[in-house]
Amino acid sequence: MNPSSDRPKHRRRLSLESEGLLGWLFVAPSLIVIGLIIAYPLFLTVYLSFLNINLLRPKAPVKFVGLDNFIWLFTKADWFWKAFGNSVVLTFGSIALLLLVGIPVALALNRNIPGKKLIRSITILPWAVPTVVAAIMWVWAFNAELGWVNKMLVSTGIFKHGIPWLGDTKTSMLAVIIAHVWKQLPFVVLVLLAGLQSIPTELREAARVDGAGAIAEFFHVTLPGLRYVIWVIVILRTIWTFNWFDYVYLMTGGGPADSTLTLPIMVYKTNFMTFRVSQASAIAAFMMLILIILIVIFTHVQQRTAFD
Amino acid sequence: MDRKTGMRLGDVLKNFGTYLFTALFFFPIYWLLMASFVGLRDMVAHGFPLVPPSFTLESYRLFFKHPDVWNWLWNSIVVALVSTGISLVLSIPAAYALARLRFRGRELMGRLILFTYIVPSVLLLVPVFLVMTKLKLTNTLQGLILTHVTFSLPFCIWMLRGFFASIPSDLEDAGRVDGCSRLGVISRIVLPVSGPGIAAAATFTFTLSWQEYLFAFTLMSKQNMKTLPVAIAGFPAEVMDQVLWANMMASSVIATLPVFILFLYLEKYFVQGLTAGAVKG
Repeated sequence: MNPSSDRPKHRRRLSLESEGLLGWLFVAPSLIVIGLIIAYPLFLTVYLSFLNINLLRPKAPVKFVGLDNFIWLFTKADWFWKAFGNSVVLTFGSIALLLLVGIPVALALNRNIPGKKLIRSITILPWAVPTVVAAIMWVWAFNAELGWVNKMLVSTGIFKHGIPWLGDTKTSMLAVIIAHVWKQLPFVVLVLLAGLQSIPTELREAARVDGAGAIAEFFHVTLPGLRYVIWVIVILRTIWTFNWFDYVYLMTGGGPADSTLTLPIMVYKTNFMTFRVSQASAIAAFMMLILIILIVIFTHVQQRTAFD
Repeated sequence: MDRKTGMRLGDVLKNFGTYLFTALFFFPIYWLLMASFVGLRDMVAHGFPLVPPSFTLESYRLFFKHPDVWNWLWNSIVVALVSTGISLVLSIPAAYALARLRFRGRELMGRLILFTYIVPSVLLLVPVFLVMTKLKLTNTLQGLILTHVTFSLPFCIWMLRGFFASIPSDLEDAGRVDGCSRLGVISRIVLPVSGPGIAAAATFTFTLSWQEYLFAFTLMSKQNMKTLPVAIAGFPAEVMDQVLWANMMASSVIATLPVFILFLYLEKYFVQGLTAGAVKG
């Protein structure tokens, strides 16, 4: 083909070696930055969680306290299991609602519905809205007297009178979940759409020919075809919702009466309000453990689905 | 015949449901826009209506009279643009190396970078704050830029790696035969055909940095060093005050606008980023 294939062997080896050098040269700057701001801090979090650093007692000698911080969290800190439970409810509540809403929307966008492009654009739009702004929108939307949620519910006759969504411990979590679903739906719908487009149309047609109705087709063709995509959504959204700080914090600050207090909020509060650096690190280290478990599951699923 | 009309009716109902949902889904954004063009006085006078009773630019006028507004905008713009630039400069060679160059540890490196992308930023809050305090980088744009670059790097590398790998290697081989060096091939052949991938990575980084709250909030405590999201969160919510209302509504719209405009022009790149899992929040 070209003269290069006739070159002596050592030239090839040399070029491979320089490829190795060039490869490392190209990767090194990114590695250094990632190492400094992600890898080293992760290590530091674990390390700090075994110490007794409390910025309110800066003179106290720093010493290794073993698992004391964790024991304190699990047995003494009365908010810990409450925050853990809230995080779990928030995570799985929003994932369930996301799939419940996301699947019909993705199906509609996969059909030839008139105005498909506009609907898709609107569905993706919440991503363009900063979390801070989304939080403000929803705080006003859920306002007891002036919010549009209550206005709509009352004017359509569903509610007799408005309720203080974010001010009542019974409804605050639901309101926060609805706000989460709104913000995360773009991701879910687009991933589901990609999944739907990978289902061969012959499969659907075959099901139709066999006389399957729309419902049978959904449960026997569509849903199994989406199985892996749904797995990916569930795991990634679990990781990120479980660890999402700002949205809940900006909407409720964890209140009322700790009804929306989550573990990320406690990391922040413990570190920046009570200045117990080591205890804040212990919460983060605990969350890291959960993360590692989820990543192991994720890798397992990923290897089975070859999704990357 | 019967079955066909039945299906049509079903489709009409489904379509109607979808339209209703879409309208409701858009409502929060509509409400914010409307609220920003109606002063608090008129909102209260009409009992917080769902359709605008009047139109005024008063909120925007009041917001731009805030003494720190230009600092916030400047900080946000500089941090987002510089983060995007640095992020691209670092991620392009790294992604190219992972896609094309054969070297020891390449596979492991790719996996590690994917995992660092999954790491939620709140887990880094305590140590990064300590490190930044020690390096005296709190309340500086450099410190915030460094964290934003790091958070976007793993995803940019991962996405560009896929993009570079999809470029036919014949193209590069041809360039090599014509006597181009490796760097020559990258700058003359790979980069020119990678526009869409780079655009997707850039929109992702810009959006992440422009919207980021947690680290901007904890690292930038001085009033004049705040970024726009931090400033917005600093306005007390649900207070019936003409100026605060104006500040909050106008700043919210302004903070949404740049990404919104990017989105209108670059929707397909957003879609690429989103499907690849670009939304951590």
